[in-house]
Amino acid sequence: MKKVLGILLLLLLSGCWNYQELNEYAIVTGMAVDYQDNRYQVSFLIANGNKSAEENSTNTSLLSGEGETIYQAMKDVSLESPKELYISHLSVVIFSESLAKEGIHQVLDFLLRDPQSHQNFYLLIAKDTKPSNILSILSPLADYPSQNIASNIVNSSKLQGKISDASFNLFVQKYLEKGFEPIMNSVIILGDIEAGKTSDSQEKSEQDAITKLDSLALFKGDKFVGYATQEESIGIDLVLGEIGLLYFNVPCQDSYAVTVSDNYDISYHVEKDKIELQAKVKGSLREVECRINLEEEKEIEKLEKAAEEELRQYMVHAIQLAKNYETDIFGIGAKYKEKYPEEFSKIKDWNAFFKDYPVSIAVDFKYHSKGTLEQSLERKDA
Amino acid sequence: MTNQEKLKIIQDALGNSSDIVVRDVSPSLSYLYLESVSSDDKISDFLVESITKQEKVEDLFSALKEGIYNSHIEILEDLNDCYYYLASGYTCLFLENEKKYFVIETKTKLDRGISESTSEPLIRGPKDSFTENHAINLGLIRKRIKDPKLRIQDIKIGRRTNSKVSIIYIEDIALPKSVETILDSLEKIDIDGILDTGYIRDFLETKEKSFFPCMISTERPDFSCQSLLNGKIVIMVENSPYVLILPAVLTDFLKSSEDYYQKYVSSTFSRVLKLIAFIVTIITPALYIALMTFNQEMIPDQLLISLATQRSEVPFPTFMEVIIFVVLFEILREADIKSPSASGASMSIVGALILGDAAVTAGIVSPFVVIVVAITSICELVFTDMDFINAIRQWRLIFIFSTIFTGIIGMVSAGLILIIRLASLEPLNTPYLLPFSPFNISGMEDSIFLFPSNKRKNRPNYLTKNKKRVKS
Repeated sequence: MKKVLGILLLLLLSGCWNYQELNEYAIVTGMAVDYQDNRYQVSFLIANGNKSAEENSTNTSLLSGEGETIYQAMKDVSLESPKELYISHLSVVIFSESLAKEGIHQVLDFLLRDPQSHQNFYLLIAKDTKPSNILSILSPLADYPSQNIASNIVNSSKLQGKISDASFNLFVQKYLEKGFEPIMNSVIILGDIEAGKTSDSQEKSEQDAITKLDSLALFKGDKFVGYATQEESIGIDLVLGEIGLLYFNVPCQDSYAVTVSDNYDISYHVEKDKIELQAKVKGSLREVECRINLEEEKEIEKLEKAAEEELRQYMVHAIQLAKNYETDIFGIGAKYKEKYPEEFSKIKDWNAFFKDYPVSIAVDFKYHSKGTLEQSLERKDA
Repeated sequence: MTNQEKLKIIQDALGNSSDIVVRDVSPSLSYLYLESVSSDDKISDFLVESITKQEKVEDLFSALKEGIYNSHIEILEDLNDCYYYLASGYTCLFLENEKKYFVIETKTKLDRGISESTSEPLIRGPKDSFTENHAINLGLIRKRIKDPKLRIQDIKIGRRTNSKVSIIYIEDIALPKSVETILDSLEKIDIDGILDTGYIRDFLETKEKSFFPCMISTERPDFSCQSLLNGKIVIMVENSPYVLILPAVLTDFLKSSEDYYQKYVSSTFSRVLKLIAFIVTIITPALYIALMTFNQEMIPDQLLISLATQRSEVPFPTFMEVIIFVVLFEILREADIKSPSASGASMSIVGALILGDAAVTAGIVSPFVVIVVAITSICELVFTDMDFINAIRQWRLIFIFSTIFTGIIGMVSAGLILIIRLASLEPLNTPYLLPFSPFNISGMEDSIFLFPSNKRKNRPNYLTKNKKRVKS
């Protein structure tokens, strides 16, 4: 009897620690942060808004608030919401360009420190628009806007070279590491923003506005320094080795042979006064516009040479861009530190050192397949 | 003593009951029987016929002893012994001025025949099941195991019911110590009556205080024989179609007699499924409560939003919702088992419509709770042993209550307590979690995984010293 009483006391005295009904939460899936006039403007995208007429689906809603700190802004939003904000299932955080230029240190701190935060979401920069606009554009393919962007990043980083699969964790990890600077994806809106916010837009086959992932944004520390172009973005991913499938055009006579590389491996050979990158790439042909004899070894070798040059150019441009901004987004400094820790500690400003640090690139490309056609498409004279 | 005096004593003792039939065949011969349990045909065809032939003989007693046709005759002296025989369907035959008297078996058939098992049906395997007739039940076992070492020991339990209880085992397989322990505890029972094997269960389980049963109860003779061959002991009670098999360990409840008739791979598969069902049926409602009220971060994004939307119209806290529905389902199930089959159809309509659909539409419960309770109860249905099912239900409630207060931590604690409780059970010195804890290699051949019959060479060594099953 005493035992039973003891167990009951243990259970009851604990109260209902951490007890919270699920429907009392406002599930935040997207967060947009802007900074104007020394005040943070924070918007939260709530996934479980009022229940729509359709069964088991909801309308999302966007709540905004402002304050001198992120937390204050969040509590300001709470005043608008009958439910408690719940950020465990956050999938994207979008920054305005102006805030990113000032530095996003405080936001990173908030997101790391909050006990609810699970730290597996994506960071984005809203290019040429307010970040809250991105959250309010509805997409017909996704259930709620921020899911649209998050799954877009996951898929695009696998299938294209322009997007980096850069989650919050990775960003912070790079930010904290010496000799490594972070990058971020950017997102733009195409079309009429105001019309895109209405759900009418969702029902049209051609939408009034859509969100689209754009090129990469370069950071130096927690400060945004500039955008890369599409080509430079590819180069950045190539040097980082974070590439799944990459398609690129290989010049062939006066047109192109479209190539998809599906096997990519890069190795770094660091020395005191230079670094050598060696990339081994394998790929296949997807679209041959020129008329060449694909059964001849020589022609293929020619194409392979051209492909190597093409890839090399991407990387050279990317490295040049990073050197111009004096930001080592490739983590070459980290690799240098690993090999020459003493020399690294003597270098005061790695990014300045990186600017004059020679980088040489060697690419080895091989075709393993020509697709399902052996020859280029051509009429044979009988 | 004259016949009239003897008959008077018996009639008085039975309170002049209306089913007493007395006939004086001649001045020196009278018989008495209870017509409710005796067969008139047997008496007139065999008994009356044979005794009327003997009338003019000098030594009537020895003539009758040899001359009565019936195969089962006993000669008694004490008049007090006759009541047991009378109630069992015997006829008493008295001779004038003779102390000894005959009791002659003239039972009528008060049982249904051997019918198909209803509570443990099989697809492939024998269809017969035990009945309420003790002799038939013993026969169903005897005809399967023709070994002379098969031992059937009878004792009578019950001051008033005087019920026969048989302990059945194979002498050179079963552990003598276990047989002794069982006999000891059975002999100690002093109760007015037992009507079913369920009555003696509690007398045998005095040490083990657990919801989980330490013995299997089955109505399948083939399953009983499989257990006997493995060294287990079967207890059979008169008038009960269920026998008890001792000792039982947890994995025994995942077994079915069909396992040995089909390919070993399929048997292993079905045992693994049952193990999964066992875990699922105990923890699912608790897990649901834990995820919905404490550990939301463990739910995937899409599901979380859909769950939050579903719950938004329900006014009750999650645990209330679950408890309401679990209890309602238990009541429905109880009603379904007990109700006559004629009202079964209306019962299922009420159950399906009211519980399933209307409760959701009315906003009393969320659709997901219906799914959770459905999963729980479907998984419960794979088990056939009622005691085991009841233990599962009780533990499910324990899991739910410990989760209500502390979420997933409470669930894990309840799980630990369950494992500790199971591990501390030791029916007949057999640890309940055998062959896993303590690890027992010979038991492994037939636990969750079933080895093919030709590879399963040994009996589990915790049940017998005579290990070889397949000799080669």
